[in-house]
Amino acid sequence: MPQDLRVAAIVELVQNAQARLGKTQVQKLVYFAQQCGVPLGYKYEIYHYGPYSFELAHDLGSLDSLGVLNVDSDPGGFGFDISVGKFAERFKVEPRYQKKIERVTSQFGLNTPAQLEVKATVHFVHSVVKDQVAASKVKSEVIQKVRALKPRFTDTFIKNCYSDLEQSRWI
Amino acid sequence: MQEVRDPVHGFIYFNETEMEIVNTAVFQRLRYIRQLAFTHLVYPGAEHSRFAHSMGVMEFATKMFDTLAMKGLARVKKWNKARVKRNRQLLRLAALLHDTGHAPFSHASEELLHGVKHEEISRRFILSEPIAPLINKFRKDLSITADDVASFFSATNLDPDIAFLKEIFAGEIDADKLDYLYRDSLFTGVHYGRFDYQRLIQSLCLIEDRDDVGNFIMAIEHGGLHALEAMVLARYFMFTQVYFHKIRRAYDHHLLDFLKKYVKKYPPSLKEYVKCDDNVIFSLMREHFRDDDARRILFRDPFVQSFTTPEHIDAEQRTRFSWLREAIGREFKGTKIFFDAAEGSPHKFEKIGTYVLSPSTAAPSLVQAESGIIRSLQKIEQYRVFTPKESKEKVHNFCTQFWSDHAVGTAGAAAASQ
Repeated sequence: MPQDLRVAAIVELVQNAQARLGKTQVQKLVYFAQQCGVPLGYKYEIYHYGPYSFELAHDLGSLDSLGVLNVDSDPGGFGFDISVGKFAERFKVEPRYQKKIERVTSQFGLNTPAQLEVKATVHFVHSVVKDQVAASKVKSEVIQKVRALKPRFTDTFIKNCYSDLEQSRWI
Repeated sequence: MQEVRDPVHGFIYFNETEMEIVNTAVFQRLRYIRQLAFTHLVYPGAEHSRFAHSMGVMEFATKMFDTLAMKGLARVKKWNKARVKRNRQLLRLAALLHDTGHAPFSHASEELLHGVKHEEISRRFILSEPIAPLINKFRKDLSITADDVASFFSATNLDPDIAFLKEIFAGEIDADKLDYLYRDSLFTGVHYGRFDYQRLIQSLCLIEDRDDVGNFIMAIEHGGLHALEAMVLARYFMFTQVYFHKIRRAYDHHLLDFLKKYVKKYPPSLKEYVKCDDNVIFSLMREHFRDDDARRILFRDPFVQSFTTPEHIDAEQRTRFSWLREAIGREFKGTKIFFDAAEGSPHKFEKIGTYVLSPSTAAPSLVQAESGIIRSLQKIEQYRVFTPKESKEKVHNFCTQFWSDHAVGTAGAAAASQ
């Protein structure tokens, strides 16, 4: 059973998101929740669709078994559909983390999976690169590295994601 | 080229530098780390080590890579010949070295690693003498450096080729799993751990993500579905019969308690850590043979299982076990008892998803949607109570009585839940 704060934060994010969620989206919302100070302790690394925590993937499976979440194959059989389960109500986030989670869901809750994927990747790459190159070169270096990791996205799309994060002070 | 005979693969072939790596003290240490800790005290054949397993993972990873290469890997990834050759060698090195950081008795004593996992120790070995200079021999011809191989084990890797290759040896259907399942099954003699890995590897393919055009991920052709189901069942049975075996769990417990008393933490220096293997710990146990945990391991007198829940439990039984645990604490003050929680979902594909191509449309769908067998398997969640032999009957009688008295709908359940 994952720690109570982890469970409560995941439940809150799933409950408050305004779009249908799959595993990728939950991974990214939890990533941003952690980045804005909710101490969930998940370790992230780059995977198919950007930053990804294997431990969180395992926890989602456990929460499905425990009835806290429902993780179902979507009707098309391609992805997953995640919603809160019958035991979700038992878990509440402490007020001090509530605002942080609201910030995540209001900022990213309506993003498409592609936007979430690229924004989280930009953020992750930025966190690695910022200590490796001069401040004036960080932006171009991040965009170049994200292009290499995600060749299917255009420069403009990646730059827009970067700007969004910059304006909302995530990076 | 040199070859090594292996019971799973027949022959495994090595190039000169790979063999030099195998001959280092860092890699040779793996000969003295048993793959399954004290499982050989239950299944006498399970004496195999991380040494042969690591070679086996390299072989499986190569077979998987070569299958994908035959099916257009270079074309979809836009890799030229040189890049294919480089990535194949890179994968082989990472697979070969992935377990070098393992602690004595494999996972059983990982807790003593200064808050890091064994993969992090593997990364440090790869970046240090004597491994790093050997890997750097590939720099001239293949542009491979120790840093590249270490990136497989780093959370901050940003190289897209490595992110993809990592999936082959540490993904959902990966070389590590294929080798440990087949090898553990072979050496324990637990036959239902075997499956048709050749068919499974042969059916690997690359598909374009429906929601993410241009992104190619690994999948299984429909012809490989039954081989995949067999692998999942093999894993499921290996969990219930071997990895979660009650006596093995008891030995793991004694080992960890012993190590916490006499080792506390493994040395952070690689020079010292490389000397830590199963033999060193065995010697230490012999030195402290009067210690209760050492004695129980050396003289095969582990705690015994006094009570167990079923292998699959529901929320009510989970709560009931927590009540039982508290009641045991009150009832048996002064009696040595330990509780064990064995949890695992060996049938689950927990990551982004594993896809099978549909026979009718050739479109990918999640393996859960295609396989009734996989859908019907449940998570393993089993709680146990262990005691010394002499307390078994007393504790067993108390637990079984408590368990039935507090079943749902009984007066005991009503009282305990208040």
